Amino acid sequence: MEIQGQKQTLLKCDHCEETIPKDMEIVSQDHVFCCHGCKTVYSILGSNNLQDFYKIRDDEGAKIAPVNKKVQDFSYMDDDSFISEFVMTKNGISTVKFYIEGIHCMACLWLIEKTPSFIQGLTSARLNIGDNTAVFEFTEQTKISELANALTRLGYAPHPLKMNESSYNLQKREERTELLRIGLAGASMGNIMLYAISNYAGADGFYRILFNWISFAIAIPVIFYSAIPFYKTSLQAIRMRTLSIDIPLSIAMLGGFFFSTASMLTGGDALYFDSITALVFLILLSRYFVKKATQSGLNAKGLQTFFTNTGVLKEVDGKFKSVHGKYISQGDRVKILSGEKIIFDVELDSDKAVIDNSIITGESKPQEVIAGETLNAGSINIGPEITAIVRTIGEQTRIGKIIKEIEASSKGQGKTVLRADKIAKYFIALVLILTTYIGIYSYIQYGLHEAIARALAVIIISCPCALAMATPLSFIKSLGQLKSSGVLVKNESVLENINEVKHIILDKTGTLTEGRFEVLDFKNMSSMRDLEIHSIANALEARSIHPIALSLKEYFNRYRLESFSIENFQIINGLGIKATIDGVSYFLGKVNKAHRDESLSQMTLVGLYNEETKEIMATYALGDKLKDGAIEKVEELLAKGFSLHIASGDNEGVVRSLGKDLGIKSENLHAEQSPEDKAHLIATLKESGKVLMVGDGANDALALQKADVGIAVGGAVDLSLRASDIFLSTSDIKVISKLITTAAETNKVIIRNFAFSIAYNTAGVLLALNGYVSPLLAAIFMPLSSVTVVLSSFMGTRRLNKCFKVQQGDLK
Amino acid sequence: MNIIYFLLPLALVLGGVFVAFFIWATKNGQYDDLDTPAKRMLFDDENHTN
Amino acid sequence: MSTSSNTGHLEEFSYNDKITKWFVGATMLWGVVALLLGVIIAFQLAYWKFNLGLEWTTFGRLRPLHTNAAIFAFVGNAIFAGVYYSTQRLCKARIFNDMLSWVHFWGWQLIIVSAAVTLPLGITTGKEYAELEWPIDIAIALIWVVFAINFFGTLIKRREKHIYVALWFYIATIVTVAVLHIVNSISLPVDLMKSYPVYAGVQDALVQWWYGHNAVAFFLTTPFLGLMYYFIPKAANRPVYSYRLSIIHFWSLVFIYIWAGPHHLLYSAIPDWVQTLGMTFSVILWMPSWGGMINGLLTLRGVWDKVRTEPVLKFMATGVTFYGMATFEGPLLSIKSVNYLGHFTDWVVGHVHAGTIGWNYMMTAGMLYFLVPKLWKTHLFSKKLANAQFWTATIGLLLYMMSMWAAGITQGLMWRQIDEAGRLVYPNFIETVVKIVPMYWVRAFGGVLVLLGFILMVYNLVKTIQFANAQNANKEEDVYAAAPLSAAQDEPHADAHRKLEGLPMLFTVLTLLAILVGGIVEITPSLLSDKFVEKAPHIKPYTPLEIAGRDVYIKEGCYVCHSQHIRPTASEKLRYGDPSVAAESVYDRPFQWGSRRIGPDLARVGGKYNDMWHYRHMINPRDVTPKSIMPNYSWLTKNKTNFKVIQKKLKVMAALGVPYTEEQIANAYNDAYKQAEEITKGLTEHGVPMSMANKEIIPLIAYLQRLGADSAKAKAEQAEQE
Repeated sequence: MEIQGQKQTLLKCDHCEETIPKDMEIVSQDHVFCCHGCKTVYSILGSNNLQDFYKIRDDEGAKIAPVNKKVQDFSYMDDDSFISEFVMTKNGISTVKFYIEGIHCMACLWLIEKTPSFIQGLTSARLNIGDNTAVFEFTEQTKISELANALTRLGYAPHPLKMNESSYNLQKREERTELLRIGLAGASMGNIMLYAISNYAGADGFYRILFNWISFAIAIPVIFYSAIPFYKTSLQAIRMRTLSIDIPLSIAMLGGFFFSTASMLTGGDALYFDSITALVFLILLSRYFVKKATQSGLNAKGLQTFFTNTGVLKEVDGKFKSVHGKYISQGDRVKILSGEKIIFDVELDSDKAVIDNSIITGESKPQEVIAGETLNAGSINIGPEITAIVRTIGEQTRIGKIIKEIEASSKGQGKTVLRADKIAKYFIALVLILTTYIGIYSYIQYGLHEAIARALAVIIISCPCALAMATPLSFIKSLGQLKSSGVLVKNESVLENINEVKHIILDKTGTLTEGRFEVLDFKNMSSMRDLEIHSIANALEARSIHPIALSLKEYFNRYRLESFSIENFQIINGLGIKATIDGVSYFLGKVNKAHRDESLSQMTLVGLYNEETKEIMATYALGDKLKDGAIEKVEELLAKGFSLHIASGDNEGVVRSLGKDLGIKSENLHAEQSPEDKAHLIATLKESGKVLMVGDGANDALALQKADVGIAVGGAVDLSLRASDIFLSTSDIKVISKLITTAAETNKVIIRNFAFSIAYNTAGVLLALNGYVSPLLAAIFMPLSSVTVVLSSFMGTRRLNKCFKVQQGDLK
Repeated sequence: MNIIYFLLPLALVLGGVFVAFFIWATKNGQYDDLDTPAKRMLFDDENHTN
Repeated sequence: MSTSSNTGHLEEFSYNDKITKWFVGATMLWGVVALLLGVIIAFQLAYWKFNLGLEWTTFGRLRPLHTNAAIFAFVGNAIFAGVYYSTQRLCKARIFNDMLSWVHFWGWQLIIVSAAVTLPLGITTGKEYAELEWPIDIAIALIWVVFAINFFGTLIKRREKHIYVALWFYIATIVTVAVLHIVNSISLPVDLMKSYPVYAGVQDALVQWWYGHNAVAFFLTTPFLGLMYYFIPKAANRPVYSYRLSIIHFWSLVFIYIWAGPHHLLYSAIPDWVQTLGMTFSVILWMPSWGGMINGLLTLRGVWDKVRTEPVLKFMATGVTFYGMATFEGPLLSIKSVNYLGHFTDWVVGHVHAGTIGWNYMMTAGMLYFLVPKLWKTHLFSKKLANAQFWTATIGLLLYMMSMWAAGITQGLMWRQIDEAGRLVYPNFIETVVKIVPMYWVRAFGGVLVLLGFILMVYNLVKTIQFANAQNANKEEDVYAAAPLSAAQDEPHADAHRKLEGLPMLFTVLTLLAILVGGIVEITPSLLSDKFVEKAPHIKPYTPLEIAGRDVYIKEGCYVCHSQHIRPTASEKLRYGDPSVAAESVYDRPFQWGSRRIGPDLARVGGKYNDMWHYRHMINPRDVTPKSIMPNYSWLTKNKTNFKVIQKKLKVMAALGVPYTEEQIANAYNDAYKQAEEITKGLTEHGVPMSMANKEIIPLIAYLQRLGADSAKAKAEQAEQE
């Protein structure tokens, strides 16, 4: 499909509608695709008459990401050690559960659940679009690797999840009991309210007694089933000799229940079955929402999945067999295909290798390694196939150590949350003392009934749930809204720290710049057409595995180039390569001084020379492009009075010119920084104020973890979330300023909630002390205070709402 | 006003039935995944006669 | 359809759409009938001559036919069409049993026809919205059980593990309507055409309105909420706004709905706390209802432009909005002080039709515009016609509601207006009626528009079907494939396969029925025994002739215009006398408190006018009240009273606890005839022939003169003693 772009006509890929510049597309049977991945998916859908996929996608107006065809060998999924752990088989049907990357719209849900109709042996597929996990059931004979391959061909990356009997059901059963508790509490509260209102409205005589008994009967399941979590936490707290908010709650519930039963038996009139069931229901409900809101952001997977989640080719008596990562030990010889991630620290066996070591150095420039040198786990082999000997695995590898250290020092609760708990503790102590005091005092003064009534009123009304809910609730809304605009925040303490940040350190690669080493500028000084120049250069670079060659080839494969055969190919070490095409010999390599163009100083320059005439024909400038919007963003942060630093592994020149563009003082520019240096820089800055670090989730992991607030841009989700506090799924850093305003505003909301709940509690207790408040009024007043706190958190502040006005993510 | 002795147990029984349905539904895993059903019901199965 | 063994690959099956097509047809047919009846009775109120002076066409008998036709025939068939279509698709399974489906279809149509025959003939139980006599009640119960088996069977046989929220709403409807119907129809038959309910007076009132409100709740609302949760996402092709909210909406609705009945009896003789309870829960009901509305409307976010063009979405969006409006007006009306103004007036009629036309009619229209093209695999005949229907129906509805609000509030205020001297400003009831007659014309015209709209739709749909039948005459059904519910159940305990998994559901339904039957058998005797019925000494049971007269009162449907219950307020005390006490209606089987005062309240009319006044009033009401809108009842002077059956009636009454002595029952025939002759002798002075003695008008006069007579006598004796 053709659309008129500004400079040149742009085409739209028929699969993912990605715009591709003219003559760079891949054509097959008059359809246009941006990459082979999209072409294959399109053909698979075609052959199984699943074209509705596109209809559903268009209806929903969703956008699919281009299919990145990662080479994956899933044969490891077929050996029985994998099956025993990841597959559950019962009466002839085996079930496996995958976390599926690449799901983003209804069309994917439709396609995944349609797989049984075109994959042999698959009987059912059910996707949970909430957490992108899918459960597949298939007859015994089918091989799981076949299923995994089919999914990858469709453009989805499956990651197997533990599926054995116990863990799978345990987690599900726990969720279900939680729902059951809330449901029962809600149902009985509703029905008890029926009988309570009848009694308040004047039902008397036999009806009154009848209704009391029915309320008693309905309250039993609530007090003895739904409220169990409160008793458990109270017992734990008592065992650990600390005060927890659940203690007064449990006392109020049990005390209320037994007192009401006693007064019912003795014909008394003060019954609180309605208040205590309302108490149980409301608190269970609010805790459920707090858990749901905070949990949705994170899917914490264990450390080992990072390493052993992929299959590895291990040499077994001469032949290379695919084995699951878990079963590789030191000293094994392994073959690493091109494009595969190395998951151990290995020593290179074949003579040369080209790897992308960005996970360690942060620089995406390809790195050449010669035999005998070590390759770190986490780096990606972007050169040809290599064989290597495994030196260290798992936690012993260099990256493993970093991750281990990060996980060990997991961040504790934030300061305000600690402050809230501390105040709550004192408050609880005060409440307990007051209740006993009022109990004794009114017992002497007014007798048992009044004493119990007053004590119960005090304990119910003073329950600091408003206090306990104030802080987490104000975070829920902000976290929810941030999540919906692509910012995953680990926990609420992060938002507090942001408010006190003074220094901001920005990493270059991946944060300010695109992070990809690509051709930025092409100048054609010769009389030939651009395409011809590209074809020649492409032909020259065809067989070279030099890092620069790889970036050039990536640039070239977007064009339809003619292929030339080349003769007497020569590599001139450190300078470039020479070869002759159709009798004319060319040189592609270092540009000599004369032709260097000053404006492109900080980029590496490659020139194409006609060997005979020695005149330059064209130059390619390669470098790392600045992200759009980076400059305004930096200016905004500077205007806000933060002291900005740039720390990057790149060389001095690049960092200096970047600093000049962004207007940052030269002493705040730090170049050639290894992860360890960055951590050290943070340590020094920390003395003079809180430090916020924005970096690439993978290589800056150590620094991000050291910083008071670490923001990871890009990089693998699970690794970066472990290292940093915030993960930006959208790579545009405009979101950072939104983050800072949200943090400030949320803090205001917290203080407002705090003030309110303390005022409410003190007023309530005072009123209850001298008997103005009956337990019923208390029971109504207490949820009222929680409701107002909830409302005030969800209302937020004007500025908070303004910055989310643009895309109002609905917090479902 | 003694109809209460008939209506009340009836209301309790009816309430009990719906609580039983609720327990069965939660135990049966109806509420494990509350995001996908709303989308899954939109897909019509296509005709296999051809 | 063939279902290969469950470990095999995909099972082939096809939907039974034939039954849905027939139910769609029935909905269209009975829709026209119900709306036509509505228009007729509306005109009958506006101008009494439209009653045509015939027994079978008078308002008293046609109004129950309209309500039953609209609720059970029109809305009933619409629900069944929607449920049969959506359940099969949500369960990815064919309906449980085709034969049962046909039994259900033809059984239901037979019930409707029997209602259309018995009600105009005056064969009615006299309980509002449950007027059908006991043989038809049993038939309804049986057919409903057939429907339940068919529905739950499909649910158990489903191939989609998750039970979508719409199915939960259907479950709630089936379970609760079964209970409601059975409980409210418990009665002892006198003969094939007559029965007396087990409850009396205030008990009957509570059970009747517990049924009345929940019939609205679980027959007109929950099934349509289910249809909303299925059809709006399907038509808009957008997932429901928040599925979590719909689950909360369902469970909160189910638990609170059941107790809102008493808001029909505010300021009546039922205990005060029951009234407050009814009021509070009706107001609480506002939240789940609006939860449903918000969920429905927000599902359309992003496709509002389609709402402009697509008739399906246009109707459904309006339907949901009117649902929101009606469920806001309801709780408002059930607040005691507001109810004091609204009760017995046309405002309630406005609220009822905001719900029925606004919500049920609009949703049904939307559903039919969605279903017919889909079922007959074609496109709608004309969108312009659909839009025409939309605008006529909406304007008609607005006219209806506005006129009823105006009439209701005017009459309510006029009834209660007292001048500074403490006298009623409008002592004569007819003054309030005459004032609102113009509103009846506006309402009738509104009704015509709604009917016209419906006929446009029927024409549109019939044309679509004809066009389709011509186009593709292939008869066999489409075949679909889906994997059976996986045999590897993830329940940790025994390897439950599908039948076992269905057991809990079947088990609950069976226990429910068992408890119900057990409850009735065990509780009814206790109800009958005297010890529970609180009595007042001066209230005596009706004489045999008065019983016959009361049955004429019920036959003619006098309760649809006259109430028999005075509320404890100043203005009603001045207009009608002392407020009614529960004990006064202890022998009223069924209770006739009524829910609308088009005519004045009759609770204490006994002795107020002489027999001749009543005689002339029945033959030609305008003879005694000049501008009355009451139809003539001339056939009462021609139809003979059946004196023989009175003895059997007394026996049944005695069995139900009314203290008739043996010899009272023995010579019931003679007593009745003697009393009839006495009354006729009194009338002969004014030229009424003695042959009138065996005509129905005499027992009716006897009954009317007895209303409130006992209390008046007791009050007079007490006055003498002082």
